[in-house]
Amino acid sequence: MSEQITKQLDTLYSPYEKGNEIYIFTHTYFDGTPVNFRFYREDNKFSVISTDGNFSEWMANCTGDWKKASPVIRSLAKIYGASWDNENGTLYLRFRRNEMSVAQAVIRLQQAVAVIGSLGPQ
Amino acid sequence: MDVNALDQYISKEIRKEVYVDHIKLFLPFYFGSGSTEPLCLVWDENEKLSDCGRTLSELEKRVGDLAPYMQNISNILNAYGSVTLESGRRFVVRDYQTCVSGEDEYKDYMGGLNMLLRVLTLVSISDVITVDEHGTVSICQNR
Repeated sequence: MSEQITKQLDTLYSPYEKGNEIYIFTHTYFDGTPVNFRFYREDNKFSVISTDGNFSEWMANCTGDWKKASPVIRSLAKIYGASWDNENGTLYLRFRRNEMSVAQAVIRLQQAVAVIGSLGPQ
Repeated sequence: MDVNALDQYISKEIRKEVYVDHIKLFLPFYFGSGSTEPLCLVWDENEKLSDCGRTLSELEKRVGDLAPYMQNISNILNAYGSVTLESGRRFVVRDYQTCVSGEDEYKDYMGGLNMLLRVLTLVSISDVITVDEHGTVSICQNR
């Protein structure tokens, strides 16, 4: 069975360091630009996964005005338990570590990105 | 938490099983139907990647009759041409982009996987969104 598939799967959702921060490689691209997720621990109970600056730039372009689109964005994000930071144009998922695994959070945020990243001008 | 520890946490739930003639990938995909069983995606010996019919089954559990959503699903497939619907039940990727890195050429299997996951995500909420023929999403008016 294809060695190349297995080798590429090893990179799926793999974390990496960028500066002092941890990011997760998602293999998500919008018009060739990668969108990866930042991970950090907020405190002893909550962790956060959020989209990076490339997604904010994409949202500015695809909606024309993400602040105007924010009610729709928030409604769609809620399906996956995600939230929208209207100041920075960031989707994020804040989760309790004993209620949701990191993998679940990553997939849910990726799903939210897939839907919200397909919005048009509002 | 450091990168290695995080990698181990993620690997526990994103697992792959490699066999002689197929590869399975298990993902904690959210269908909104209440099911907690991971989504199992399968590459067969011809490198065809499939959801094995799971997505439409889960949508059917939630909405009953799929007929009102077939135009939406057709628009999604038109917009994401690399994904097709096989036998009316299984979403499938057969062809992958070729990437070049120096002198190496390889197929972008993860790109194909990502396209499939995008389609499965949009299909799984076909009762909530409207998707036009270009793949642009809007919220259903009656929501």
